[in-house]
Amino acid sequence: MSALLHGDLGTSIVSSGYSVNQIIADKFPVSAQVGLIAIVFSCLVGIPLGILAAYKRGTAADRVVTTLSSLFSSLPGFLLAVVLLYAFGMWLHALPTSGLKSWQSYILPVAALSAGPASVLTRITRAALLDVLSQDFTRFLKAKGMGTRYILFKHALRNAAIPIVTTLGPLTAGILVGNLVVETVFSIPGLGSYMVRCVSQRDYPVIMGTTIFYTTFIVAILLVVDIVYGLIDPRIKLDE
Amino acid sequence: MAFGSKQTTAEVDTALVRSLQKVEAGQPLLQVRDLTVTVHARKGDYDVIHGVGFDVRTGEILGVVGESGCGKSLTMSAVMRLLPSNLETTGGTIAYRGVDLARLPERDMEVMRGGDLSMVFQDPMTALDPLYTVGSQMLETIERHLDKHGQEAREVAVDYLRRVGLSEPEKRMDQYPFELSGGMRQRVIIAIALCCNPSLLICDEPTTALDVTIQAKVLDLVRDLQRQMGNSVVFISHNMGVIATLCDRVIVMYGGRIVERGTVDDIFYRTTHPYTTGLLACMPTLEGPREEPLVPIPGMVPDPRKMPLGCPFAPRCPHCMKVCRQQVPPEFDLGGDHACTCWLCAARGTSGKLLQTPAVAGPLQKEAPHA
Ligand SMILES: Nc1ncnc2c1ncn2[C@@H]1O[C@H](COP(=O)(O)OP(=O)(O)OP(=O)(O)O)[C@@H](O)[C@H]1O
Ligand code: SF4
Ligand SMILES: [Mg+2]
Repeated sequence: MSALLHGDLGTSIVSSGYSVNQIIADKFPVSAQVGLIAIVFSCLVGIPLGILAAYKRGTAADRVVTTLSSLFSSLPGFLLAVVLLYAFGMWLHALPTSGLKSWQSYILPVAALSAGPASVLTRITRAALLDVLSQDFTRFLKAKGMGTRYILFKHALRNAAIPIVTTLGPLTAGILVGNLVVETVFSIPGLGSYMVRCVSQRDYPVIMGTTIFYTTFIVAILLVVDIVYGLIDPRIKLDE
Repeated sequence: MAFGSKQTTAEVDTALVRSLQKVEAGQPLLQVRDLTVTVHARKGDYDVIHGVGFDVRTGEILGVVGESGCGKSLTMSAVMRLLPSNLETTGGTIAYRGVDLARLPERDMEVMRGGDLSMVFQDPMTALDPLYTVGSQMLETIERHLDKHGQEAREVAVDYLRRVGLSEPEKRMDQYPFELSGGMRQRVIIAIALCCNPSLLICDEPTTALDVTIQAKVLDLVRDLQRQMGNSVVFISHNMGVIATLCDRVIVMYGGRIVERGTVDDIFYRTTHPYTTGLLACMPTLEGPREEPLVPIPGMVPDPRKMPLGCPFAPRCPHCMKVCRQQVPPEFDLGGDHACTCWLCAARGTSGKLLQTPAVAGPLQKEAPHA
């Protein structure tokens, strides 16, 4: 217990001699790298699509985006991973299916990892923007003669950023520490696939150690989210 | 005029603003005719504003009164083209300085809004973006409509904050809305609405959400600024007392129609429409105890989907006659500015002639303004 408080998470009982700290130091960067690409990709796709759907609300474009996003956010992750693996890897032989040897090998895992978060971000962005656009101050902005696009990008988006960041925090934490299913399906040597192995081998110190690491990491991300709140909203002051 | 100048607006959007006619004092600045607003609903469309027509003259304060839900806000939102998305102006003309706002492209309408035509809403607590400073929300308006930027724009903003009676205007510029009280926010909003020197300011119950002492101050402010700047004001209120102290002329609305119009004296001392009488009977006075008790008008404002066949006020009217239930009364001219939409005027053999509801006018742009 005192070792834990000093940051020592113990040693593996299966891979003898390996400390849990060493394992995390080896495996986490791999997961984090794929995860970081995936979360950036999710934001780049999800947020603009959400803005588009809100801007064109009620039109065909809005309906297509809304339907696709609810489809992808309800699709189980392992199903998408397996379908992608079969379609592009085994059937079309277009993309590598395992490991992370070339840049092409990132495509499928990143796609599998991003689909869910991207569609969640699309829905949150759309809903948050529509909520802001229905508020009184939007009407006053219109009464001041501000154009729709100006209102959307200068005012609505910043107001919508709070719910977006709130969702983004846990999503990022979840992706960065490594997705158990996606890493296993695509044989990525990250923390997620390693943990699956440890669970099947009952390597308790590693399971416990990585779980503690996960939790600490999520707490850290939530702290970052709180700091970002302070940057977006002047009503939230961090120094008081 | 000491403040702002129309020339700068003209530089921003020459074509449109040049086409705006100059209007002599006392002449109509805004002429609304046959304005009809329709609600698009799944169960079928229905009208909420039924052919409303009125003038706003230069340099006057026009009061709009009526109970909640009788269409005051919707009429003015239609003028500003700020109706909620399920509502649409389906008829009539809105001639503003010779330009029909109802047919103006949205881009040109944006130039008008906040520039020559401004509106203040009921709730000051929610009308400002919480994430931007007072200054930045003023500056974006000034930069949009006046060709002023940087320090020059800031000077205009600070000046208007001072004019609406805010202490330390320089400091207010850098404060966020949440740092100001409701009364201060409403002053900021009025400053924003006035900073581009509009010819017409529409106030939709701007004091309702404030407490009584602040209400009185904001009313004084609106009147003082109107006198200084010489612009026209439309003041929506359900408070007859406020209307009596503030306005020059009044229109009384009921069920999406104008039922009586006239000068403040016409409405308060030569009251003709039973609905106006009802409104006055339930108006509390400040000058000592009144002789009669306050009498609320029995019944409720009609649901716009179930409008009575004839006069909209018939179900609640103490003088209701047979004709009232069958035919919508026309407007009777009672001389001067006074007119009333009630069959009693005909029954009493009022000397007044029958006013024709003007048909949908053609190109209003070319027409000479008539009172
Ligand atoms: N978005 C909307 N959709 C459908 N009907 C509406 C909508 N907004 C207003 N109405 C209807 O139009 C009528 C007039 O509304 P309006 O807001 O103009 O009333 P008002 O006279 O301003 O009342 P208040 O004093 O409460 O502000 C009401 O009966 C209301 O039910
Ligand atoms: S028209 Fe008839 S019902 Fe309507 S206000 Fe006049 S008297 Fe009353
Ligand atoms: Mg209203």
